[in-house]
Amino acid sequence: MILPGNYKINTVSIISTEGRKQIDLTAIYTQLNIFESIMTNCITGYLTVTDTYNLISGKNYALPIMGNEIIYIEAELPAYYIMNEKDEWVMGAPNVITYYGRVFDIKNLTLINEGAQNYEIHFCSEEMILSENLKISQSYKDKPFSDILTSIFNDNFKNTISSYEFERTLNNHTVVMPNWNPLKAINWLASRSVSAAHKTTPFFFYQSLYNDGSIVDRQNNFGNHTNTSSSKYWFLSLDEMIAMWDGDVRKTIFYAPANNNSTYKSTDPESYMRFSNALNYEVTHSFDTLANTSSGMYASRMVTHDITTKSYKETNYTYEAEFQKYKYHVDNAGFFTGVKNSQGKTFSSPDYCDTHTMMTSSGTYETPNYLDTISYSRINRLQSLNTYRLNLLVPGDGLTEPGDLIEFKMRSLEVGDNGKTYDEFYNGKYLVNSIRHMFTRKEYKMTLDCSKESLNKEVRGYTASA
Amino acid sequence: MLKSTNQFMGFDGFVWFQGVVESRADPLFLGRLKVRILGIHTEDKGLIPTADLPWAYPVMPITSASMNGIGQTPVGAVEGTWVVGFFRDGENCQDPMILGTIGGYPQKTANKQEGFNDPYGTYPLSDYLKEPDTNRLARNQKLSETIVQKKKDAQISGDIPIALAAYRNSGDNTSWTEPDPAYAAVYPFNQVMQTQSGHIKEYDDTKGHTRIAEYHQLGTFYEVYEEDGKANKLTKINGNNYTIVVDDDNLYVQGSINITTDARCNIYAANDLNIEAQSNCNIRTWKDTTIDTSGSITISAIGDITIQAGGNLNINASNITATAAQNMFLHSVSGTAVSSIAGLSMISQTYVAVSSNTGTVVSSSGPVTVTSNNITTVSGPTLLLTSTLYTSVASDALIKVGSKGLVDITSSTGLVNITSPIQINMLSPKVFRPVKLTFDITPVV
Repeated sequence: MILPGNYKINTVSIISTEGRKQIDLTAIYTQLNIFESIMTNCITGYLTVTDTYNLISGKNYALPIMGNEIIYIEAELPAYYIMNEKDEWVMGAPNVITYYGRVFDIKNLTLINEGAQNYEIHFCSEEMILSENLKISQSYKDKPFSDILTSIFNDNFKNTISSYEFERTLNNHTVVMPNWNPLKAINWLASRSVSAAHKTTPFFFYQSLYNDGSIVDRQNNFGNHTNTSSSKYWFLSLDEMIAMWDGDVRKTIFYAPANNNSTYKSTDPESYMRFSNALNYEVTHSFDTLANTSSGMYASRMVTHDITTKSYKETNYTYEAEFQKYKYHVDNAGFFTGVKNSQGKTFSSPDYCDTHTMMTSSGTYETPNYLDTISYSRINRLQSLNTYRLNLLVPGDGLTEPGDLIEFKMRSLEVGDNGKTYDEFYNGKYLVNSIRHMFTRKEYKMTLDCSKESLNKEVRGYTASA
Repeated sequence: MLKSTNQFMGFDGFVWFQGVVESRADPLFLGRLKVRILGIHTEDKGLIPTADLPWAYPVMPITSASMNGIGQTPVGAVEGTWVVGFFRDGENCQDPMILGTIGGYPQKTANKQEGFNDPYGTYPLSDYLKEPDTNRLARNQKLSETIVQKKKDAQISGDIPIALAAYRNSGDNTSWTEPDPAYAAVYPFNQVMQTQSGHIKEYDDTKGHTRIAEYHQLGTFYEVYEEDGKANKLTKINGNNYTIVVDDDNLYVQGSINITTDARCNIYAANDLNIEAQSNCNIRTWKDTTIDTSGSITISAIGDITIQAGGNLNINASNITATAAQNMFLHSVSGTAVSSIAGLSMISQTYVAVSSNTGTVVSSSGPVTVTSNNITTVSGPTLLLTSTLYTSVASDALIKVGSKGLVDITSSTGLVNITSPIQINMLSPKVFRPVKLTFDITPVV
């Protein structure tokens, strides 16, 4: 059993490009950082090493690090907790993550003494580098974007060792990929995709480090190695991310100051407390009404035109009306759109729709792009996700993934009857946007970048005179 | 992925491109083209078939309304044409627009298996390789393969006669010839527009040789060309010519008009046909001339009217009235006959003289009446009054029958009656009486 915050490194090694030489770095790394996010396509990271063998030059071990070498990581991470027969939360068997990355840079090289140097070995997933080498100039006719995306993924990343799961999209499209690299093409498709199941946007294409335990038995061309990876590529709509939890969350996180132990029961095992405890938190971004207004989150107008029929259409959007359209939200209630201003209107007044006007083509006569129904929704929801951002520093576990829903018990300053109260609005569910895994030689921590697309409770009775 | 592209078209960057037209079969007839874009689309037709290329919309000049057919038609590019354009949707690269075409110096024919080529393998034409795409007429090169040579080949050889050439004075024009092609263009002054089949328009600003020309690929053309400080015009029609004017047609020519046809010349007027000449009007027919009218014909002249016939002169009419303000002469070298099925009258306010050097015969199947308000004189060496039925000599006043010779009143068959209600005077020295008179004769003593 590995408790949250602990981990076991089985292997951290670097493999030469041809795969003939492998050097174990387990003993010399001082820190390992791995980043995964729904906002980025691939996992990236860097390894800080203290090198006394001059691996970079390769004189001693004939492995100059010149880029494109393989970083292989295999670690056992605290995975899940179960409730035992004593009604106690205990940790189960660890998750084993296996990850292969490609070295693309050496940074911050500093000489410690005559025989040692520190530097960072930066790596990313194979697909990220491969994407820079590949270009897609190909037509796709009358297919859903999800099919096109799958074709692009399989055609270009045919040797990937990651599994994938792609949500089906609505509408058939005919597009010509204009010599973009695969990930740019995929991102473009994501920006125009509508969920077939939920009829909503936005979509995210990203890679997670851990894929719920299903190890993909694939081989790639990492030299002569036969490799597997625990990572997984996802193409999901925001609604699907939320819907798949069916009201549940990955875990509930408390922030319990040292002088307040009322959060946990005395019977709660350490594993549970570690699993659920935030070491620190920081609200990095709160409601920025200025940014929200200028970005059109509260009110905007979409003008689309058809060059063939010489027609145009104006559609006005307001935040409240749009919020009601979506079945799934991270939390319960929409954001407060402001007290009335000196003109007697709120931010989301229909009179302010031209605050943010979008104008675009509705495609061509034969190939409509449906942007008139997509663009505002996408901007609105992405901006909503950016409205309230929270950084949580938690003990590392191998279970939390980007795209997860968590619940954060955000404390309020007031003290209630039972000694603890939570913030009325910002307490509640959050979407995990990004995770930074930080492995030092002593511990394993995660920084979760979370966002709240909606409030825990509707703001009521807030009037200009209040 | 959070980064959203600028959602306002036109503010999202101008992405322009060059490409090659591979299809112009726009099902919407909007002049759209399938353009394979360099650096954006692969040449591999397996990955992007021509049919899958997005339709690129043509941008028309401000002088074209692009509305209800008003303005220029957005066609002209051919498969293989290089174009320059931009994407309406910026970096999304899905909605191309075409701003214009690019000429070049083609070196090889199209490989229709590959993209960026005419899929039909037609363009560039093999005869035009290794020379500029600029029209040969614009650069005055290879004229033997242009319409200049075609015009020369089709030029009418010899003189074209004009009317009444044989009657003209020496020094007058009696014919004309088709002018030589006036082409003498110098680059870059000749603006040429040529279509795919070979129709050509030229606006040539070459100094001293300016021209405006329009040429149908089958040889019909007009050309306005500079010559001696004037702008002559040559129109040549390799086929039939039709000119239809709904209302009036006005033609004013300060010089001569020569109309020459190798076949018939027909002029038809549904209303009046008026021909006026301030000078002479000459009509020369090398065969018969027929003037036929359903109404009347009036020929008038301030001076004389001369009708001259090498053969007979036949005048047929219901009635013929010849009126002379002065004298009227009917002159015949041999005989002159005036005949009438009905009456024949010769009436004169003064006198009627019928004279003959040989004989004058007045004959009639009916009566012949000689009437005069004054004295009627019938004279001659021999004056015969002959009648197959009877001859009546009557007068309201006096009838005198006198003769320096014999007065013979004879009736070969019946009586001779001399009747007077008053008195019959017979005065003679001798009265011969072979028969008995039935009345008393009182001799004049």
